[in-house]
Amino acid sequence: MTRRSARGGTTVLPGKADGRCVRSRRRIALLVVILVAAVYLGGGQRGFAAATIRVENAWARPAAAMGDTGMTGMGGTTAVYMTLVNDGQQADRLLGAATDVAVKAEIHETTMVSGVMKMRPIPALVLPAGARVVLKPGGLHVMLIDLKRDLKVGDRFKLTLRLERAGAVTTDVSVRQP
Amino acid sequence: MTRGASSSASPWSPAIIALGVVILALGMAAGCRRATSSFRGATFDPPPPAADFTLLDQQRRPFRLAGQRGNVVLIYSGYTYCPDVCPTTLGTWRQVQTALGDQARRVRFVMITVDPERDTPDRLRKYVGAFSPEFIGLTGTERALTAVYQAYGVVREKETVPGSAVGYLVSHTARVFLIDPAGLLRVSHLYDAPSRDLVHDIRQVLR
Repeated sequence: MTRRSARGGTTVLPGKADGRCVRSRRRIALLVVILVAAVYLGGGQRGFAAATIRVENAWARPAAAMGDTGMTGMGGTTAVYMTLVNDGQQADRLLGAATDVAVKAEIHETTMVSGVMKMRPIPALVLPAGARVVLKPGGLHVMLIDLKRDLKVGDRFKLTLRLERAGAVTTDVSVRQP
Repeated sequence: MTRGASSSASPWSPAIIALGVVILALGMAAGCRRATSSFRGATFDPPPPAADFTLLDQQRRPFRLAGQRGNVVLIYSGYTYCPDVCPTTLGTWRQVQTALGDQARRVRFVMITVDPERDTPDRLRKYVGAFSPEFIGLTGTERALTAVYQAYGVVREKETVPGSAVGYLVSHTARVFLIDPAGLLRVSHLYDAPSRDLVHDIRQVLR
């Protein structure tokens, strides 16, 4: 539709420097901008195969870095929660995550086994086609291991998810108390 | 015939009386049930005295449970390397503290570590401090802690996790115990109980 309007516009192009011509040139300029934007955005969507995986409402609880950042397994931790939406026609798998604010990020799941809370790493989290997978407290989460800095309410940081099909998907995480 | 006549005149009254009695009994039973389960959490009936202990707080000062009479004490067992379950509880406590307003001054929010190997008072201070400066984090000797775990039915299992960057994790029971101002163990809640349930039960014992 944009494209057709743009072509329609080009037929008016040869004009003199009168008011009508200036108006139509402006119109053409606008149409060109729209066309370029449409192509750019469309291309962008195709470029990031990630468009099939959407991340909604990514958040983490505040946590302290503990100051022992040099020693793995002794730093601060927290969890990132979010909803992963697979808009695509095919299943995908979440294979890992990374962020600048922690030494490591791993996908974990909390389960209760006869009253005892346990955590286990999930090597690959399946995201079925058309499904919404919810990472929430007491269940699936991205564990941030050995924080490099304190995370305070109101902070934001980037988390990059690694997906088998969609590739890398980066999302903004907000630090807050629910 | 006369029997028939009398039964046609009065059969309703015993039935009405019986119905009245049933309604009254149901009403009393309902009243009774309301009276015994005025708590939202799982109750201890009768409530036993909460086992006393002395541990070290995050400022390295001794914290004795018996010294808290007059206040409500919430006890939870967790650890500072815990990313999901323990912060869920402490986040809920933060909401409870806010909701209680002035009454929160009569509540002690206490997390007892299940990971004394890693949890120094300094780590506990940073961890609970991320939620509220008033929260208390306790550690102690293995012996003192083991006695607390036994008294409060805390199970903990240190686990190494193959293929993970975590040093080790500690699987643990995750209940919140509510001790009333008289030092009695009244109620326990699961770690993810909504804050309004805790607020409700705290107000029950603060009356």
